[in-house]
Amino acid sequence: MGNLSEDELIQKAKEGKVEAFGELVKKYQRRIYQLIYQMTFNHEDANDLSQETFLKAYKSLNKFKRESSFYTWLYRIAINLVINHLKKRKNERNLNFDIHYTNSPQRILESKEFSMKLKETISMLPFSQRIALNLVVNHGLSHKEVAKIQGCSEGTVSWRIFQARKFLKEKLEPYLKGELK
Amino acid sequence: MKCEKYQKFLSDYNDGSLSRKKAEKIKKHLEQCSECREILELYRKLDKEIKIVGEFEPSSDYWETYWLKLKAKIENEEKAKERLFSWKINWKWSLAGILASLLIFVVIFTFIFKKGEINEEIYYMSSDQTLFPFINELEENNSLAKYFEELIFTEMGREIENLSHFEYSFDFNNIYNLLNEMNEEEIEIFNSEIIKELRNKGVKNEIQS
Repeated sequence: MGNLSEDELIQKAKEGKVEAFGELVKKYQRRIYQLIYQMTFNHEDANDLSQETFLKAYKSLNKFKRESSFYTWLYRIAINLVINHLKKRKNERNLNFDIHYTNSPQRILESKEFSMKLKETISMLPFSQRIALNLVVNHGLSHKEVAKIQGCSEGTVSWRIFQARKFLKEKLEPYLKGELK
Repeated sequence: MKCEKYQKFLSDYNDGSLSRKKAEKIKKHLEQCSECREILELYRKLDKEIKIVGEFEPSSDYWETYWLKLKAKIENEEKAKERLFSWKINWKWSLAGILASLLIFVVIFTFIFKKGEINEEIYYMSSDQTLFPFINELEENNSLAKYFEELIFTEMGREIENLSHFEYSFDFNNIYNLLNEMNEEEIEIFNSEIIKELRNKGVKNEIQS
């Protein structure tokens, strides 16, 4: 299975070869997990929703018509699941962020409070802005690719990211300027 | 262009999504505008911080078992799907059983009616007490249902086709007399005997008692 191209793996998976689907999962599992973690900041959610994404993808493989790339299609499934999950969580008013601090040498601000504040502020953004910003900043996607995933124009993506950055800057400027830690 | 207008493009400039011409314009402006440089710097700091809070790598054990857990879920879903499909088949056979019993009832009823003797007690016994436990058994046992379905639609089907004018006897007189004389307990025994008979005849090896 290891030597097959992505298209061949998709075809085999469509024919019911679970192991071919397994190869696709192994290729994208980290990206999908990270995408969800960056939206929820919770490992349990990232675990459950990423598994649900792949399960849903497997069941709907016959609907995948190759009009977009496989990862775009997977991202869309994941994003829809995350949005539904976050809507429920918002209603429950239950924000449950993992407390996790990285030792990255690139870290600019060491403050634990800042990490929490940043997660909270990101969570205040409208879903569409949060998704667009995440896909560009964390996944390195172009505005064009994000537009495909979000089903909108590139201009809309630009506007969403600009609004998100403006909001975060307003809320976090004192921290970013080092006035608060 | 005023500073405010440039600021709207700083986010796009940061992402590299502007045309070369526009990006050049912004770059030139940034060289002489400290306010815009500061905003761009804040955006870049923000991006770095967003990356840091979004970084989380579960243990290697987690990834080693990730696919196995997912595979188990896929297999469970497929089994559930198969069970649902099997339930649909059972439902089909049950419906066939109900229809067949109705047909039998119509035959018995017509036979009785022809004789001018409508016996409500027999109607009740033959439709509810005699047939329903049997149909329930069919619902629970796919192999038995399959056998019964074959029996109804092959052997009996042919006989039923011959039942023009409902003159076919098929020992209805005997069943009539038998049911008439049976109490509830005996009917239960009668049902279990039918099931036993069907088990012995057709699907000995497949039925799990």
